[in-house]
Amino acid sequence: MKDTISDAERQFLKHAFKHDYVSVIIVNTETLEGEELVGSVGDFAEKGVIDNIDTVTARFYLANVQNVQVEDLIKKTRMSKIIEELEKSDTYVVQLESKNKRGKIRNYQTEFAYADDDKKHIIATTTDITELVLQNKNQKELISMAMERIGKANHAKESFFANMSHEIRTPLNAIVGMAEIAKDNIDDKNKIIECCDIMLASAKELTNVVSNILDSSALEAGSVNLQVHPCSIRQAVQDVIEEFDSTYKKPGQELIYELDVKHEVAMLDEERLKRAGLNILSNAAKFSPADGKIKIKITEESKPGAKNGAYIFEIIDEGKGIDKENLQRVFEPFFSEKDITGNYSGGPGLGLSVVKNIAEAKGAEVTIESELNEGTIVRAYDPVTFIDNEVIVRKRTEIKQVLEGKRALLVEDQTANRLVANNMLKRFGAEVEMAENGKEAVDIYTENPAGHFDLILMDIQMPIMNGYEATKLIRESGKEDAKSIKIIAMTADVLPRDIENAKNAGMDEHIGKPIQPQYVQKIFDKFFEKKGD
Amino acid sequence: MSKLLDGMTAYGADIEGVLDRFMDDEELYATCLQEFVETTNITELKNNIESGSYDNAFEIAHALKGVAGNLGLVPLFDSSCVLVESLRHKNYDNLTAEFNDVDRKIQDFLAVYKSL
Repeated sequence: MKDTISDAERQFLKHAFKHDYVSVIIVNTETLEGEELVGSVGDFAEKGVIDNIDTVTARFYLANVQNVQVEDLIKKTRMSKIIEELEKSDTYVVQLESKNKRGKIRNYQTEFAYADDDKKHIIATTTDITELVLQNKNQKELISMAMERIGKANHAKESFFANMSHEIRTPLNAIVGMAEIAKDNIDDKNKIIECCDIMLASAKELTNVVSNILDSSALEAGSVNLQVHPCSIRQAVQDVIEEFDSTYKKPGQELIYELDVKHEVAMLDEERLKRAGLNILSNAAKFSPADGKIKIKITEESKPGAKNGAYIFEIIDEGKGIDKENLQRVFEPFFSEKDITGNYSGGPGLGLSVVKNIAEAKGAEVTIESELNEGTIVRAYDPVTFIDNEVIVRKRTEIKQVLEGKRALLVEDQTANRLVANNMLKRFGAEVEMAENGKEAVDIYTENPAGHFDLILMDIQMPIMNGYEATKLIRESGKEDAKSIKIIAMTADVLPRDIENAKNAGMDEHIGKPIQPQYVQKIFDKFFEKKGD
Repeated sequence: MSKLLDGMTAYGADIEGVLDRFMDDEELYATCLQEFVETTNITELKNNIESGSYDNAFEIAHALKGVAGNLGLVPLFDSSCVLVESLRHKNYDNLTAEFNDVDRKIQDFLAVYKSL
């Protein structure tokens, strides 16, 4: 091969090629002798000299090429084949995959072309294309994953629209249906009240669905301003529990609630806090059995004297749990899991996505742990600024004389509580008579004519006879107003089961202690407000 | 603010809630506080817990919780909530510590009240 190029040309070519190619070989097409000008692909040629390119190539491939197509590769790189291909095109390219001494896979591309016009010499330049092959592979995988996600997202969106239609139509149908029934039973007050209760519950459910949809969109777009103001965490949680109990909790389920905080008031977006809480609780109810327990625990992280700290929320259920694969997806919009009955739980699949968006908007963190068939824990760490009591300016309840002309029977064994409630009832305009236990209450009620009392405010835990028993006896007394007189429970027990117990005992409403005038006002307005007020 | 309300604020009472509930009737609030001081019997609660009469203890603690709440005595209300829930759920492991906390909160209140 020494006659092919001069030494100077050889040195020039070696210098020019060494950075761009892992191998440059020049071959005499007649003698099949060759010279390796640049070589780093293993032991291709001994001392750069090739006495027969086909033999050396075949030996090299057999030793280094790992895939089952090595014979095919040898055929492709035989000199006769190369010459045949160069008849059709100026260059001929062959790719191969080999394993180096360290066992690492490398990909190469060899390009063959005539080195001279006489076509007596062919030059073969080999490039390491391993990185390119890897990039292409990665890109293909990424595209494949993206296409899969797009497919799933499209499917989820289709499910969302189908579910959304169902979730909106169902409560709307209930409202329309109940309105029709109420119209047909216009003289049946109890039927009308029943219809109104169902319409109110359906309207609340619909409000939550729509709010979640709107919130999801607005929060993701970053277009929501949080409305932060001093807010009582105790009151906010109580409101959530009440709504959860009336709208989402299944009858046999139990909700346990623990609040252990030093600072009851903090700067919070009350509405979104409640929405997030309700979304998590509604999931807990959906995925728990009919007699399942759900626990809410709220604690605080704070340092003495510091205004900034955090509330830590935990909602724990003992339901069906979430498998590992779905756990990665629960915060995705439109994602829906199968509920405790094994059916897709319905709903637009936005609840937890909204929770995550609210958390992110506030700078909070929410996490989920779950084990299949054991349950789920949702934790939220919410940094807040605490508010000292002195700073709060609570708006005084504007008292309307909604009980003017009414007479109330106040049943309460504790003197201080009796004085507070008596004072409040009088401020609302009522005339008040009092009893100190359930038996006294029943006696006073039955000794007076029907209509003497318009409402009874009944404590529950009392000596001699408790409020449940007294209510039962009043309802069963046979008096004309026994079924219709408003009996309102007044108790320090405010858990959902307590509210349910009160209703099961025949009571119409429930007021928690400490008594809050604005909530008492709402109840009195509901029962007694004159039309046009 | 009056000396009474200042003192109760220092104790940790929810004075805003109290004034709303009592409809700004500070005199009525003072009467109720006095009534509470005269009638609260922490010893009865303690004896019932120590003798294992948990049902009775529950009723006393429950009543205490309700009154403390209405009087805005937040520290006492919060600690009695814990005791009430333990008794309600028959979780007796920490009753002594929980009662001691209630007792402490009552003593704190009495110390502030008597200084007024």
